[in-house]
Amino acid sequence: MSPSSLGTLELAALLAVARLGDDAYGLAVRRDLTERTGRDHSVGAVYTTLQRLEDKGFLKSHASEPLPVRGGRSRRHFALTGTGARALRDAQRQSAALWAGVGSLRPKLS
Amino acid sequence: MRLGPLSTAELLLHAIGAETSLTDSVLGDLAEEYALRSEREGVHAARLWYVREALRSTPYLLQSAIRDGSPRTRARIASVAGALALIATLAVVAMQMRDGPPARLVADVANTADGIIVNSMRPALLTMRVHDKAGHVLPPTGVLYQWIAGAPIAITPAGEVTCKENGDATVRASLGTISTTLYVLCRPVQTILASTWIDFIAGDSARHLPYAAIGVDGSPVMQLRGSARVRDNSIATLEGASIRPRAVGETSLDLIVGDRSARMQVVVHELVHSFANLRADQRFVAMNVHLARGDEITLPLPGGVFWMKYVSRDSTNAPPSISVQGTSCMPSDGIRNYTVPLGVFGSYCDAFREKGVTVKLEHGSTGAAVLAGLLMIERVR
Repeated sequence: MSPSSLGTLELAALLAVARLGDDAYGLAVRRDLTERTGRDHSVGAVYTTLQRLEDKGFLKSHASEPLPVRGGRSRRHFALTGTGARALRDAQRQSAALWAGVGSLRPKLS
Repeated sequence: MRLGPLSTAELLLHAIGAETSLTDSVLGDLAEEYALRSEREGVHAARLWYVREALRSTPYLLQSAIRDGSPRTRARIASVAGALALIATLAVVAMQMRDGPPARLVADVANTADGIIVNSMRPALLTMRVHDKAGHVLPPTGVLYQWIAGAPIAITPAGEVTCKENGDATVRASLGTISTTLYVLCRPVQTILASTWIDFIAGDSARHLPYAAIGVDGSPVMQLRGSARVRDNSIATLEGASIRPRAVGETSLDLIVGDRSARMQVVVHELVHSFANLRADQRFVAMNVHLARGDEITLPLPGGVFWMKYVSRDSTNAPPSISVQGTSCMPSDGIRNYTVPLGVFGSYCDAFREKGVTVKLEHGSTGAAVLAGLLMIERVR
């Protein structure tokens, strides 16, 4: 799957999962996204994005033991798949290629 | 594993078809952050956050369920959405249907600026429409009336007006804290002078209703409030204050003004060239009559019992001299003027089913140069 098929939130979520490692579950991903992007994404938006990434094969998930703090529900932990890791590297390369040669973004005075 | 009963949010998520694992994940995250926020910001703030977050998440979960769900899931979403829409619609309708307190009093007439016309000689009840703020009509109970100015008409607090003579009065109607001013126009009608018949030839144009309402001073009353009804609209129909013939036949028209009423017979005739050899179903027939000074014509009449009428084309003209031979008519000395103000002349004849009955119409040597009219037959049997 081409990295260009990743949406902005999908790419950010994928990076958050990569960053969080074993602690990558919905709430943690959401907090990470909020800290880094300054945007308060809803729980529903984050989970549907993570679900979509799993459907695309970029992520895999497993359930933890039920936790009292979650009302007896499990945490769903996410981890990058090989495809997901490749997609991130491709996205990084593509981004670097796009940025190459771009100096200062100050407007030129004529 | 679930420890407690299903929460409302969980039920809703299941109802829209969200996967169990997704539901558990979302609700688990919400519960976990709720616990953190309760400790940090208090239960109230945490609850607000929970509700806001649940609402914000719903569109995404719905979108996900629609996109990834099975046809059964989609059908379930459609039914839940339909049920919610129905509930919302019913709630809106119920809110709109709910009556509020009285907010407006309106006189029960077409145009309140014209005032309320009272034609009745007997006590008549003023009626008001009571509306709430949303325009719903409420029962008009408890409205109180009070004379304020103008003609000294008698009015009870319940709104019963007695009009003995012409005059205009100002009346206040009130219900609780709301009130309005009414103009009551007393125009009592003592008599309705109306034609016994309204005769038409099939195809005639509409004609004003032939009646006059006479007031207590003997002069016509022009401001009237009443109703008129034609019994059989296949024969004639009302068009405002006019009546239009529709088909050959007879019907009646009832007119009510104030506490007076009148009934007029409406007859639509078929125009024929002769009364001889009429079919049994030709009950309402008419012939044109045209007589120069000194002319006379004799026409054959059908056997049986019938009304015979002569209607002048020009109401200022007297009818020709009319006599019937071979049968008996009432009055026996010929056709008489039945309804003086409206110029219709009629006779009731009984021909005992005899043949050879004739009617003779004569224009004397004086009077109008030409008499033009219609001789009409209305066969009873």
